Amino acid sequence: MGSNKKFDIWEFLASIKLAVILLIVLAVTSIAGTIIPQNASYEEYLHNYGEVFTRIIDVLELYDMYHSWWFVFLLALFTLNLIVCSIKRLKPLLKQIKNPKKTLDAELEKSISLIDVIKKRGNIDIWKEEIKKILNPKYGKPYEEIGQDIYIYYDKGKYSRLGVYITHLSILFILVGGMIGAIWGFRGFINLPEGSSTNQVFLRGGKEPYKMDFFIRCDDFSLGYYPNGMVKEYRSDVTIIENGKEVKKFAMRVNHPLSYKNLTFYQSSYGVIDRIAKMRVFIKSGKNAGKSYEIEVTEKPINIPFSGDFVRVFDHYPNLENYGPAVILEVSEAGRMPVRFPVYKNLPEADLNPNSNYFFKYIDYHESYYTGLQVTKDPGVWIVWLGCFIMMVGLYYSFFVIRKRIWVRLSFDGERSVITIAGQSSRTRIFEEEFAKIVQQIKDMKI
Amino acid sequence: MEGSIYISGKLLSITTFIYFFAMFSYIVFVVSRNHVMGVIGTILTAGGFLVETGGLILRWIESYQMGIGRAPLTNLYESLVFFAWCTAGIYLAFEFYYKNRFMGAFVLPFVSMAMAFASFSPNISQEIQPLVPALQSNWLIYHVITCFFAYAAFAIACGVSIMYLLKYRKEEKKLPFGPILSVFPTTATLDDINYKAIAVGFPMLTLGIITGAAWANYAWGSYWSWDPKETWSLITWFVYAAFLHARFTRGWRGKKAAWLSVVGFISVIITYLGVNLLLSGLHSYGGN
Repeated sequence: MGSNKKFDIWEFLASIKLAVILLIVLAVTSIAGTIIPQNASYEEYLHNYGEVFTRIIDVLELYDMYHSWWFVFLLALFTLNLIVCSIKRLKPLLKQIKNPKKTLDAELEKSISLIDVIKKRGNIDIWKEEIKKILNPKYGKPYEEIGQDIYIYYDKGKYSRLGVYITHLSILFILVGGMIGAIWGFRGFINLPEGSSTNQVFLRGGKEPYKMDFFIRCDDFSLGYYPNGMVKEYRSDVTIIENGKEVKKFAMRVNHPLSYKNLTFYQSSYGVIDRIAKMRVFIKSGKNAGKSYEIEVTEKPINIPFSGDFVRVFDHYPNLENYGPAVILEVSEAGRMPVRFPVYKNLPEADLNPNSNYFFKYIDYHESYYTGLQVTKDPGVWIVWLGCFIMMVGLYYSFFVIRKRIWVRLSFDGERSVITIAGQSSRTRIFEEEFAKIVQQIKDMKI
Repeated sequence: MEGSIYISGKLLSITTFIYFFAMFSYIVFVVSRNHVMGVIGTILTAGGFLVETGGLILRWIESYQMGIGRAPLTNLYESLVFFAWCTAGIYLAFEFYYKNRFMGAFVLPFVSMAMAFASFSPNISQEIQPLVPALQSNWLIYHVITCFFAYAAFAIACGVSIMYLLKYRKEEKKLPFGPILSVFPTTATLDDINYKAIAVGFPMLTLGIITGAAWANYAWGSYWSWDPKETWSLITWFVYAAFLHARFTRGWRGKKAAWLSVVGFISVIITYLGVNLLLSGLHSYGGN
């Protein structure tokens, strides 16, 4: 924009300078959201940043800055810039691609730096064929114009200049895909105890739960471990039930989501609902002395058979003090304080609560879990992937396809063929050597 | 330095020293302009690269011997080693192509710093650990290789940009270059190398972000969640996109573009290390 010209909104939106500035502004502003925790509570901001700064966070919507009015505005402006800028430059470019300068005339000769003249004995028609033998394998089929002089024109990688616009288009795809996902998709979760099923997905932000038209049942949740004790896998075996029929069984793990209809389920968390220890309890004294019963002890206290006393699972260790698995029981007997003590699987004779009226033997232990599934519906995701693919194609054309043009003019000066050869490329450095080689090849050629 | 229990660890420790001497040789070369020092720098870098390649392969084999079996690309130690490997490799290619060793003095410091940080920092575990469930995916390899290839290319671009800025400062004021700057490539060549490195790095970074997004979508059900690591990778992408457009804008070519390249690499370092060490998020497992 010149200072004496009127402010031209089209030129403003079409400028690359605006693009550079917007990219820098987007980069700088994006930093805020990586430092200020996103979507925290008002109290947290007040506590961490004080009153004044919390007000700023509130007004600028820095608590969710990537969806704030001003950031969305910046993105919209950036998109508009990208579209206008592309349209403005694409039109003349397409014209150029359709109708490039194909003949080497005096004007072009002057403007080009890579140029050479070779004089050879023989007919220009023969030389035309010889030159094509050298150049065709490298640069494809040429354009030819045969008159008194012969013109040949090679244009390899002429579409490389479209790469930029393909890349720009891909960004639009990604943005549209993202918007479709944001409008028509959702993210929710299901907490599903082993053995139970549901068709309800809970959505974030206190919205009505989403009702699926099928049920999902958790048959089993399990943890797998490496020898060193690190968790190797979280696994939920689930069944999809539709119209009362089991239609699909799947072992869901992290990095192995389940897709069904337009929903995708991800293994995302788990929790312990109950710990269940199978025990044999021996009565030491009283009217049932000497008798024993098999019982299932849970985290909630259960009644010891034929007594007023209670027992519950307090804890469990896979390896307690190197004696192997142990359950910590808590026994509450009438008139005494509750006592906690371990029962070892591998030490069946050890009575670590000798003052009690009961002796416990470890039979089995297991935990019952619920599995936490993330549920996603995103109808835009394929447009995003398509956009990503197009972007890579665009970047490939922009950076790795090199446009190489060669003009050849053959004329006869009455005695010899005069071969004028000129070349031009977007990558001068690579092309200079290549061009010199071609010229040398033609010079060395004999017929 | 804790003595490594792995043979690969020994090789990688040796690599650290080789790169350090390579850096030293290149710097002496620039200061003294003694050609022999430059050749030694190249030989040491190539040697270090080979030893490191052996170390990485051996570490991969060792992980199989331990019954873990995974590519050596999964924690901070391994990523630093891999970053050094990529940077040294790409640097050697650029040195060969441009036939100029002076860049070594500005690129090898990144390589040896990465290796030294990996080898000597007490907070970085060199142990071969099995993978947590979230990392058990083939996307890991595609994601890490593309990202680090990009980071390495950007490291070279940054080194060359620093050379450019040093030289341009004199050129701008029409001052004589002095003995050291005068043997640097011309500012036009430096600008060209800078662009070439970013022309390699930018598509790779894009691919790195895309593979990361695809993986996140596969593991967590969301291809983009504005997690700090994701956001910083996007910030880096914005900066280099600005660089690429700046080259076509009057008033932004040359000096400002070189500065953008330097800022871009600072952003790379924050994306790569800063986020893991200072901020929290989905990538936090990379921080030990």
